[in-house]
Amino acid sequence: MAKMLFVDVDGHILEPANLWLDYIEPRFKDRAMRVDTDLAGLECWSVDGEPIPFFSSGTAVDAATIGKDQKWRREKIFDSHEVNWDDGLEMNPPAWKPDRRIAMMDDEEIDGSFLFPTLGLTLSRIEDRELSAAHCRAYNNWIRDFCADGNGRLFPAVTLPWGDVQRAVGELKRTSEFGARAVQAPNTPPNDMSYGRLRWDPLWAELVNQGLPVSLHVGNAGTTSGSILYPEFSLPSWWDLVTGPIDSMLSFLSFFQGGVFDRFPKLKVVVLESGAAWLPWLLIRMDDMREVMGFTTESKRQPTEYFSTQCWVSVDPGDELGQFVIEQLGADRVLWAYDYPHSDGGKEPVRNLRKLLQGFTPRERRLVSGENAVGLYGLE
Amino acid sequence: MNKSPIIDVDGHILEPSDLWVKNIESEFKNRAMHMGIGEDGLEQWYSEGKGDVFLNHGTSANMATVGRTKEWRQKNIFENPSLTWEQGREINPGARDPDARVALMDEEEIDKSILYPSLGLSWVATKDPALAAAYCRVYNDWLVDFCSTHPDRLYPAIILPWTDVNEAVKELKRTAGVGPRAVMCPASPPHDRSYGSRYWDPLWAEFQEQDMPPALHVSAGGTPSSSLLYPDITMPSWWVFSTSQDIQLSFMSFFQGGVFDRFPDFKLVVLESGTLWMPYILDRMDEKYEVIGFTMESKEEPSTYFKTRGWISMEPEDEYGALTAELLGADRILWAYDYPHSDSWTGPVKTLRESLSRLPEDDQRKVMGENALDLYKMN
Repeated sequence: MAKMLFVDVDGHILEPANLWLDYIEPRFKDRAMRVDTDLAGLECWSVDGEPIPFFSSGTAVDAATIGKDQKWRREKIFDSHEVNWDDGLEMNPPAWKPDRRIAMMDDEEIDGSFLFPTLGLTLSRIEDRELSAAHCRAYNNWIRDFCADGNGRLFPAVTLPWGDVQRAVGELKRTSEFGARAVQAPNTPPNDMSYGRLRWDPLWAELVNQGLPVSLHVGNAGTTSGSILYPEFSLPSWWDLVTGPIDSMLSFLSFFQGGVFDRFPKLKVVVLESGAAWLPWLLIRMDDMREVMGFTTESKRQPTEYFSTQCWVSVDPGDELGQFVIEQLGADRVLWAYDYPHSDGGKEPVRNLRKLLQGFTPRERRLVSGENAVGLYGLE
Repeated sequence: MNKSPIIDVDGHILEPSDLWVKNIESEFKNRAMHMGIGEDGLEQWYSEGKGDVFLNHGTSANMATVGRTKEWRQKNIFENPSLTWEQGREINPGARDPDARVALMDEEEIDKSILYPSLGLSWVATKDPALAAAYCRVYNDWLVDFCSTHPDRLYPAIILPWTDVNEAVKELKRTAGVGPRAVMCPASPPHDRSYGSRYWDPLWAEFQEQDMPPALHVSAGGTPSSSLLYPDITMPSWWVFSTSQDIQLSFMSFFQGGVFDRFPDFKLVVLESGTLWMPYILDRMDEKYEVIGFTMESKEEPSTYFKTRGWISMEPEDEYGALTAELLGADRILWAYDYPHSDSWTGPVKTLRESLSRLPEDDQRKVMGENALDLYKMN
């Protein structure tokens, strides 16, 4: 009988403070992303001398607080600022030491993990396109080296400079020698550059060429929908976490508006870290509205048809609606993700996943726990 | 015997296009809303002296196309606009004549309907507050008259001048005496001012005072989130119709801002956006409340408030309506027909019965009408 494989499609690393200083090409070194101090005297990350809004006021380390309750985080990070980025690294060695990551995965029964960045989720926001691309190259080289020490169980999620299509295609080509990997697409594309627009086509073509899926993941290249109502939220917050999926919904929808799946019948799209229980609703809504106004969209078929062959979504093992999602979408469309070591990652993911999958057939369980990911990403 | 009622909480009327020209107070006469002809020679709605960005290119009558196929709509509304607004009204008597509406409801087995606007979905965010209030008075007086011919069957959903909270409070007070009514709340708040902000407090206080809920409904208002990705799509379209994200953002902003705490009897209705996202959003809001609740104002888990003070409407054909009722409790679910808009289908009650058939009979009765009867005090 086939053994169940457990592949986590969305784990994270925490970037060591000197990552970009060490890896960026020398001519960009003095502008490289680094740990800095903001005007209020609090720890921040800066790039090109400017603090990065989401990683300033001493709160960047909140991303490293898996398992800490909110009272602790509020006191130590938001109020007293006594915990800084290096403390976050200290608390979570598996987030930056490959051997410790593997040891943790052994403990948690995880066979393979895709590793997404933390600070690197904002690299597309660097306005100077050349500098943005240089940061992506540095990050990708670092994560390649990190995963190379992972006994074939760690897979990099590469980061592209999404502010510039040509540079993004260039970096995707450059990383083609990395082997199996994920490609992160920010759930807010640059303003006015919906993923349905034709100008992205060269990138989709290159993904298809390499046989890689693209993963919509929380990360900003453009304006977030949540900022329409609360432009002042620039630190980790409830509002930011609850409205993130709204951006995922909109950017996911835009693939259908723009007819991307018709132009690229082999393109594969994965939706990560946004919950999944909204998808059955959104698919039905897209189908229903196509019956009413289909002539104003470029998709030739019903959105559910493309979804059933070209899209996947990840569930959080602790998601109370996870079972329903698998029933509705089918086990072949669902992956799972741990989100270690972010503040909203859950504990004991595999134990929770087994519980979630209890009512399904052995084949369905194997698909969700790992076989879907193996097939999708071409893992060995 | 007490037959349990069947209540449609979101139907529409089609306004006479000369309503404001004929009825607006004289000082605003030169800025009365009206249907005119745009630069392309096609019907264009004008408010505040400017062409509306949604009711344009001869597509206004799209709102009068219940039961039409998309092929018909493409040909006759979009490619070769041949149905004028007034013709659209002509072919839908139920949307312009109260007796005809009641006859239609009899045929469709609907006991009571709450009537929302159509053109009125476009001008809720009229910029000049005094003008906005004048527009509202004309509309609300007309709608109240329309409904008063059948007071136990038709109920008005009034429009407030949302661009200025004080004007909005004034109009809410002015219409307090008309009996049971609903109030439309724009999908996205005017000026992009979150509904959670203190700015709106006087209005929520008045809603609480009158013990009635505002209802989030697809409409113009602030910046639509869908425009972040496609600023160029302004006509009726699949893109605009598919996105319910503004309603979701607005809904969440009530919790971000702690509105349910400051107003312990405040109630909220969510319309026309599907149902199944609600259990998901409540779940996510609760989960993140455990993670980082100290950055928002609600004192309890968001779902706690919704359990007694939130409602969401389903369309009759919503295949997830029954499931949502099971997840949230049937007490929380209303239903809406949306006649005569393009995305509604005839025979709603039959379809609704089928959609709800797996629920216990008590629960079916709640969704079909008992919830609305209590909520809007229609007894």
